[in-house]
Amino acid sequence: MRILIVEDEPLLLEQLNTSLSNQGYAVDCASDGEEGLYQGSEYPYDLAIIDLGLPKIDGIEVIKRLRKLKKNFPILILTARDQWQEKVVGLDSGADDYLTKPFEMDELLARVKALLRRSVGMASASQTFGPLSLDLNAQSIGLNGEEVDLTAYEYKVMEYLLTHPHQVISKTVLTEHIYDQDYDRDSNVIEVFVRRLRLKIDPQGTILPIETLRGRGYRINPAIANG
Amino acid sequence: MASLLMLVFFSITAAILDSAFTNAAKTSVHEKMQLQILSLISSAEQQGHNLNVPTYQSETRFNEASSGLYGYVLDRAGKELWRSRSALLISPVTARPQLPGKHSFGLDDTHLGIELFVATYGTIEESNGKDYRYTFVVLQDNTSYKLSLVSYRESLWLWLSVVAILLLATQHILLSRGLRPLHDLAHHLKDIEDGHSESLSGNYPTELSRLTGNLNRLIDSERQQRQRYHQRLGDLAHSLKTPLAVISNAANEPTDELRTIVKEQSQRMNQIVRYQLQRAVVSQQVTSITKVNILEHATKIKQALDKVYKDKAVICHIHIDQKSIFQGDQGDLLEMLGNFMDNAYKYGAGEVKVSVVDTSDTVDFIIEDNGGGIDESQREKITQRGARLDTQEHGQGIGMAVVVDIINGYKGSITIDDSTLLGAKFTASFPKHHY
Repeated sequence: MRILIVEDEPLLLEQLNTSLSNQGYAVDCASDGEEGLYQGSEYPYDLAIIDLGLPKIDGIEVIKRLRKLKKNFPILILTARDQWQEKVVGLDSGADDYLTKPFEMDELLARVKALLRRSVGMASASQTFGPLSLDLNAQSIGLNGEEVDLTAYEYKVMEYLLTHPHQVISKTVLTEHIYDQDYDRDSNVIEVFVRRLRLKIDPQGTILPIETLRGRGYRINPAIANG
Repeated sequence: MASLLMLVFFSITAAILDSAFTNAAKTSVHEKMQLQILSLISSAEQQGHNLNVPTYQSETRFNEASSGLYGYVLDRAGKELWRSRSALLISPVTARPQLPGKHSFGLDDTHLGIELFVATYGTIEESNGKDYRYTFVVLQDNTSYKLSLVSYRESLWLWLSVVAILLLATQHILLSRGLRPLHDLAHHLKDIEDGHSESLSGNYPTELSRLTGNLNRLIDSERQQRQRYHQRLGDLAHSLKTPLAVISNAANEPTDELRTIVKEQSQRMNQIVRYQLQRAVVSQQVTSITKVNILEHATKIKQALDKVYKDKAVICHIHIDQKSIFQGDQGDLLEMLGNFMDNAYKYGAGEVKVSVVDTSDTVDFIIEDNGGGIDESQREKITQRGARLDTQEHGQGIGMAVVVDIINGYKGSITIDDSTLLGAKFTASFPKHHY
């Protein structure tokens, strides 16, 4: 999952970046409204965290313009002001949740997870797909109740595929959502991850969790996706 | 300004009176000279070809030399036939023969040192069937006329000046009496500015009492505001001291405990700062009263909360009439409803009801949820005003404290009951006419 943070306070931006990266998210940072708006409109994000008091273009305006550009990823507002007037204006402009500064990093991570989960239509943090189960909080994949031992990137690929069931996901899209923009992309890496995932989850080749659609991308096996 | 207008008015009046008097005096002189001409005519007698005019006239001034009144008779060609004894040295230079029945009146200033009025009258005498035309001329020295004019002008200006001075004095007295309350007001305001006085005291006329009342309220509200700021600042500083003391004392604690202490105390400090900030922003006394549509704002908050509590899928019923109006500050309404509804979404079990009952005296906001409700022993504590955060028990939100502040600012009241939804029921009642 790829997250955009727009925050003008360098220290807070760095803290957010570190915490979210540690959680396995691909993170891009912008330090003013203009840069944030550019990145938000150019790259496919799964979520954005936007501070309201930004230089150049203020946060509310950034959110409004992103929504106008049909960018539908969830947006979490950070605000130093604690009045309802401010919250209502922010949520009304198109944001999905707000957090008042100063905040606990755990609280922010919980909100981010909830928003991401909601955006892919999951009612709770864990969901089962036939013999497979996905736990967003624990960041783990289970097979018949047993946790599968995966690397961070293998998990990210599997999480993205499972949170977008019934969709064919191209290698490019997978790359974009798993890595931040500074990463030197090589789509072969995705092939390697998928091969390893198949081996780890289904060594006998009995459940075939990931389908390859030649020239288009990957998809969770519809039989599994339907539970 | 008024004095200037009065001066202009008096000048115009004087000019009109002067001109009227001059005209009247001239007419009077003319009429007298006419009579003198008539007396000359009646004394004259046509004898044959000659007109016989007695040397001595009944008007004695015709008989005395240089008396100031001079008589002449001219024939039809303008040749002088007779002149009175008084007129030895003065000739009727400007007099011209007149047609019978015609007369003229004018001024002759051709004589050195004197000005003379000239009146002429044309007559016709008949003798032996023959007509003889004559022009009777009377000259009169205008010195007495001038003297009367001068004396008239003197008395005119004297009295006009007296009247003007009286009027100006009256005007000054009236104005200074009428404006005295304003002078007093300025004086009292200066006293307040200098710190000698706290409010506008003294008796002001009815016309000004509204203004002074409003000024007193403004001054009072400003003073209260200042006091509140002082108090808030004091509260803030004092309430921050405890957590600061805890942190500074913890310097020697082992790292893990220090970390916990710093975290706890910084949370506490954050709570304190947030609370004081909120209270500083919320208008503790209503200063701006606008008509705010309640339904519109409640709907906005509902939409915002529906997003935030999307996972909880809260059903929120809003029973508010489209016409219901909150008279006050929009920010206050949003803050109060926001905190009430946020609590109901947070602590309720998925059902919230927001109603507004609009009576002739009050606007009542009723917020209910189907959560666990509030224990009776806690209710009074929540609705108490001004409890400082550092003295409040842990876990008590600042939202309700701010709501209570707002309600008190509008001289309203808040009660907590059990809802028919089985959870808590908050009723905030705002009087319509008392703020």
